[in-house]
Parts: sequence; C-alpha cells; structure tokens
Amino acid sequence: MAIVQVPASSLADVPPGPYVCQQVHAEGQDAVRLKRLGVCQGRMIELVGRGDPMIVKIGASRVGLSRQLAKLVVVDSVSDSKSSPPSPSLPETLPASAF
Amino acid sequence: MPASDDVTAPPVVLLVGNPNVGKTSLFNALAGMRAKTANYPGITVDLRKAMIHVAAVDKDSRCQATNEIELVDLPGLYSLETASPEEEVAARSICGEFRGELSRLPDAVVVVVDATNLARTLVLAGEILDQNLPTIIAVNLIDAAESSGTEIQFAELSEKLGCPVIPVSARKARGLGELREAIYELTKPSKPQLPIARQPCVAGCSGCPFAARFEWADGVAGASVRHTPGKGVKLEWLDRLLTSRGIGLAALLGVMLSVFFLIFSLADVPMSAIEDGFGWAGEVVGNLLPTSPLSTLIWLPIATGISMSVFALAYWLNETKWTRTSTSIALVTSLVIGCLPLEDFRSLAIDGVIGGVAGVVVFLPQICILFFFITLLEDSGYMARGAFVMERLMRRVGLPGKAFVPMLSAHACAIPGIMAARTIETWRDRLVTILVLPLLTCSARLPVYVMVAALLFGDSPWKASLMFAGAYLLGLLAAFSTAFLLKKTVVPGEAAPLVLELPNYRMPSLRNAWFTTVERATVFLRGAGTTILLISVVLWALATYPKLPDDRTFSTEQEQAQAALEYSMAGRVGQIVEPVFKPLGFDWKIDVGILTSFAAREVLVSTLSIVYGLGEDGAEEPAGLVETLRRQRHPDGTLVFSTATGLSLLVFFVLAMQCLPTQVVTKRETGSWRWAIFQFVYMTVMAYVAALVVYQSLAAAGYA
Ligand SMILES: Nc1nc2c(ncn2[C@@H]2O[C@H](COP(=O)(O)OP(=O)(O)OP(=O)(O)O)[C@@H](O)[C@H]2O)c(=O)[nH]1
Ligand SMILES: [Mg+2]
Repeated sequence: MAIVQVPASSLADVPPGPYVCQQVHAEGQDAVRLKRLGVCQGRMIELVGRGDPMIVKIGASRVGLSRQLAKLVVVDSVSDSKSSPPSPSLPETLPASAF
Repeated sequence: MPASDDVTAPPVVLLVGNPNVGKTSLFNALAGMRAKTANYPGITVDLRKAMIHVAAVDKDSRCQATNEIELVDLPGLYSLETASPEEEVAARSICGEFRGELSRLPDAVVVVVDATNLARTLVLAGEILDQNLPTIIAVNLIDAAESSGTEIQFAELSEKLGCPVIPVSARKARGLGELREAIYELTKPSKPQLPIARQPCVAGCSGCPFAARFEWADGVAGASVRHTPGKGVKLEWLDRLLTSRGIGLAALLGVMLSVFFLIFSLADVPMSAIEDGFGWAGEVVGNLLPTSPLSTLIWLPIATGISMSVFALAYWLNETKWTRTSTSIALVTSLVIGCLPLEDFRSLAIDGVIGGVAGVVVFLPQICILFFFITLLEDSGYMARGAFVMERLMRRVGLPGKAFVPMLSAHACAIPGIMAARTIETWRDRLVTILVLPLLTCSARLPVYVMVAALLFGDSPWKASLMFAGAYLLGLLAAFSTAFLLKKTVVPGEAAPLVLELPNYRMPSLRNAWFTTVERATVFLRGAGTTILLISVVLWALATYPKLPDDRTFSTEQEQAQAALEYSMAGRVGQIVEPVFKPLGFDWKIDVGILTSFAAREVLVSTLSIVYGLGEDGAEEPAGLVETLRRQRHPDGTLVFSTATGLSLLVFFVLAMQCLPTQVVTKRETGSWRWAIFQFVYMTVMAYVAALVVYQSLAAAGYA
C-alpha cells in the first residue's frame, strides 16, 4: 500500500520524519560510534534536519551525523515496516525534556 | 575480588557515566577543592581523584561510622566498547585491567545517569551492572527533570536494576548525603563478598548487542518514568537557528569574537599587576642579595641552597621524582651556580629566573579567562553546535569539526589548544589538529606584531590594523592549508565522519567553570612553567657568557650591555648565522633576537632593545625603541628596518615554530619527539620560505 515509500533506503536520501533502522553497514570504529549512540538495528530514528552533517533524534537525544555515515544506515519508514518497532518508541514514553 | 591485600589502601570508587551527565559536577560537589589531577601512565588522560569521607547516616553522630575512600572522576564514555583513548582508560579502569595506579578492580562504581534522558544513559549502566561489581546508580539532574515534568519512581527503578538508586542533583547539592551513605554501605570494612551474581541485563547473544541493551534500557526507563507533557522550556527553535548554515556560522563568529574581546579587555589589569608584581619581586631579591662579595665559605652554601630549593620547587611542580640522575643534575647545577661570581648570580636570579617565569605567568590571566568562557560555553551545550557548524567547513581540509574548540584556544596560547585536542576522538584527527595549532596567532606574538606595526605604520592606524588582521588571517590560512597538505601526504586519510551528540542546552554553572579553570591553569603552569624556567636559564647563560674582558670600558651602561651581548655566545651565533638570514633582510642583531625568542616569542622585543643599545628598560618604552630601530642603518647606509624587512620579520614570526614549551606539550600529547621535531621543521621551513618570498619581492619592488 505504501507506494511512495521505497521499502528500504539510506538515511541520507529520505525526507525528515521518523524511521526504523533496518541495518547499519558501517564497519569498525564507525560502527561502534554509531551503535553506542543508538543507531542500530530495530531502533527508531527521527530525521530532524537534512544536510551534511544532518541532525537525527534518537530517543530523547539529538545527534549530529555526517552524510557519509548516514549513507550506511538503511532505514524503513515507520508506517510500512512489517514488524512494528520492537520496543515502544521512546518519545511516547519519555518525551524530550529540555527540548 | 577487589585486591585489598594492601590494607592501608583506601577503597577506590569510580564515577562512571555518559559524557555530559554531570560526573565532574558531582565529583566537585562531593570533593570540593580536594581534587587532585593525576595523569594516567602511558596515555595522557587526566584523571581527577580525591579522598573523601563517606558515612553511615546515624542518629547519633558521635558513634557514626565513617570510612575514607578514593573517588575518581573518569572521562565520559558511551559504552564499554570504546572509540577514543579517553574512553579506553575509563573502560579499562572499570574492568581493573589498567596497569599503574588503578591496577585493581574498583571497590565500587557509581554510575551517573541523566534523569532527563534516562533511557539512553541507562544503556551504559546495564553494561556495567553486567560486570557484577558493587554498583550504585546516581540519577543526576533531578532538578532539571522535575522542572520539565518528568517523574521517576526510584523504588521501582531500584528493584528493576537490582542495585541502590539514589536521586541527586549536583547543581542543587541534593541527595549527596544519601549518596555518601550508599557508598559507605558498599565499601564499609565488612562489605559483601564478590562476585555478585546478577541476572544479566541482556539475555542471549543473537542480533546486535547494542540493540538489545537499548531495548532493555527503554523497558526499564519506560516502566519507571512518568511524564507530564507540556512542562518545561522548548529550545528546538534555538537549535534550528544555531545549527543552520548561515545564521549558525554568523552566531559562531559572534561568539568567538566576543570571547576574544573579553579575553583582551579583562586580562589587561591582571596582566599589568603580574608584571608589576614580578618587577617588585626582582627588586626585593636584588635588595636582599649582598652587594659586596662575601667569603666563599659563607656564600657557596647559601647560593647552592637557594638553587637547590628552586630545583626542589620545580621538581615538585613538575612531579619529577628524585632519582639518582635528577638529584645529581640538581646538585651539580646548584654547585656550579654557587661558584658563580655574585654579579652573575644576581643577574641569573633576576633576569634569568624571575624574568623568565614572569614571561609565562603574564599570559596566565588570558589563559584563565579563555578556559573560563570555554568551559561555560561547553557546559551550556553550545560548543557541540559550534563543532557541528564548523564540520562543514573543516572537513574539506581534513580537520574534524571538533578541532574548532582547540583552534579557538590556540588563539590565546597553543598549549591549552593542544591540550583541548583531547576531545577529538580519533588519533589521526587529533594529530593533524595538534600539528597545525601553533600556526594560529597566540598572544605571545602580539608584542612582536605591535612593534612591527609601530615601526612600519606608526602614522596610519588603519594600515596597522590591516596588518594585524592580515597576520591573523595568514596564520589561519597557513593552518588550513597545512592540514590539507598533511591529509595528502604525511597523515593520509579523511577526518573521521561526524557522530556527535548535541546535548540539551543547560544553564552553565559558574562554580563548575571556576573549578575547571583553576585546575587547567594548574596543569598549564606545571607543564609549561618548569620548561620555561629551564629554557630561560639556558638562554640567560647563552646571552651572558663568555663575559667581556675586564679591560674594556664603556661610557654608558647601555653600551656595555650591547657589547656584552655581542661578545656572548648568543651574539656570536647570531653573527655566524647571519648569512642564512641575510636573504630575508635580517642583520645579525635581528638574528640574535630570533635566537632568544625560542623561549617565548615576545622576548624578541627586549632582545632587540638590548642589541640596539637601549638596555633592558628600552623595551618598556615602545616609542623609544621604535625610534631607535627606525634610525638604524646598514654599514652601506641603507635602512635596516625597511618595509621589506619589517614585513618579512612579521611573516617569519607568524609562521615559525618558536616556542619550546609548546614543543614539550606536543611531545607529551603525541607520545614522541618525532612529531614535535616534524612540527618544528615544517613550520620553520615554511616561515623561512615565506619570509624570503616577501622580502625578495618587496625588495625587487623597491621597498628595501
Ligand atoms: N541543572 C543541573 N545541571 C547540572 C547538574 N549536574 C551537572 N549539571 C550541568 O551539566 C553539564 C555537564 O556537567 P559535567 O559535570 O561537566 O559533566 P561530565 O559528566 O563531567 O561530562 P564529561 O566530563 O564531558 O563526560 C554542566 O553544564 C553542569 O553544570 C544538576 O544536577 N542539575
Ligand atoms: Mg567530566
């Protein structure tokens, strides 16, 4: 039903909005640096501002992310992902406080 | 088990947590001014430690049980899987794997989490709980969480996590007593036996371990946090502005200019106070020293003793151990100094030691002000936005956006800049940043710029300010082009792509900024002060010996000083290297100035004043010095300080590496002299070539 959405595309090419991270193709240090901030499989990522670097919101924290790394992050839009996000997405239970 | 075989060693308690959750604030709140900065062996990471008392809260305070523990503030880390040397140290300390001071498992770990971002900061807590160490979770920033309408059920949280959970606010000093008590419970003499067997937070090993941890943290946080929507300030609009392309850059420029304005306007008074203070100290010492020679029997022990105490002070500051080598160096040097004639001793004490130390300490106010404002900006959360905005520009030359904070600092002094480069995660990026930092105009260059400006453009203020702006720009341009060239050659590769948390905006705390400033200033003085002392004594010796033969007489003191310098080692070397610098338009007198300015650049001004026969005091009266310099002529009648020579001298000082203390810090931060030498060679070659081009082309155009 989601005709407009390409099922999986990289975070670098999508319009702002909430996404589910499908896969992270980064390797080595880059992978660690992404994953420990929450950019890993199955997590919710909201793209806030496009550009290079771009701003994404993961849970209650905002992260500046270079386009080069964003290209390695495969995301799916929330509405047409078959499996619902594995955990209740954070903003529903714990909205950003200071922002 | 935590090896307490050494009964006297107090229990070690680590403060662990994500960056920016308030570990340092909590540490300061618990330890006050008792903090000591220790350096980790092998890797340059400053760890802050303090001995504090923890106590059981008891009705009767007389029989209250207390315990002394060693609290350690670790660098922030996101996960035990590390991505930078600082995180590596933190992670290894937790696992007790570090050789050196923290070679044992900690006796307890306090994991600091952020109440306003509980889910994310609990991820690390989960990892640490799995280490099965005695753990306390301190939920910091509860004041901020409350005012934004977040409520946390601490009892529930504690049950879920299986460890004590203490709500605290480092800012408002709330919950500190409870935290002390909890630490006491875990570290008291009859502490529970290890290993603690906890349920693993994350079961199974399939899939991404990080995802599993995040899920677990979401679950725990979700169950114990209630949020009242609509409370608290929203600053998203501000963030959008500050990270945007145009306005963000303009804001950054505005912030940087205001910091500089503040540095230069506020530092004036303390700087002249310090100068006066050292001048006064020199006079006092001069008066204290006997004027007529004492018998050697009395004088030798006195002078040796004074010199030994200076050594003891320097060793203590620099944390040099009294090994056989260092003790014999101190002893032999002190004996030699004891044998000096009285006049020489006086000159060594006043010009060499006091004057040399004054040369560094005078920049301390600027450096402190810089540290203070940078800490405020960092605490407010703005610096991350600055790095984000700069990333766009700096990436192109192979520098990371985070290099912008060190570059800002380096405009006051390269040394704090190089130390600030530690926030850059990857080694390659850190190295490139360190290598180019000394090209930026530091305040020690300013006296030289002022002199050249007065010399060449004394009658036209706008030309002088143009020259100043040009010198700053030249430094920046040189730094960026060097970074670009390094990327293509010596340090290949691109800057690591940006992944940077943009922390919530917070009201910075003055108290914290003050603590940080004092601490960093101490580190600066310890590191640079002793080097400067050594260099100024060596340079003093070079400019004093060999002494003029006694049979020569002079009509004035100035003439004698001039002749003495000419006759000294420094003067001779200046004459030897004259052919080398001739193509840049420098005569041997300027060369002597360049040689002596290796201790610190601003020394050029006072050296020139001596070589041109004005005496020491000439430098204090710039007008007099400039007038004298303007009159100088080569033997063939042409002006010494022509436009061409002046500008060539300026360009040389913008680009050359003339600061041994900086080199010592480069060596320390990069771990080898190799990079310090590389830095020296490339900068000096670049300075020489640039000054050559400037002089020769201006001379060809008739400005010589
Ligand atoms: N409102 C409030 N702000 C706090 C509290 N504790 C710390 N802060 C602020 O949080 C910011 C970060 O504090 P730091 O103590 O530097 O954090 P840190 O964990 O040491 O950070 P890193 O050393 O970078 O890992 C500062 O602006 C503090 O003023 C608190 O209890 N309440
Ligand atoms: Mg800290």
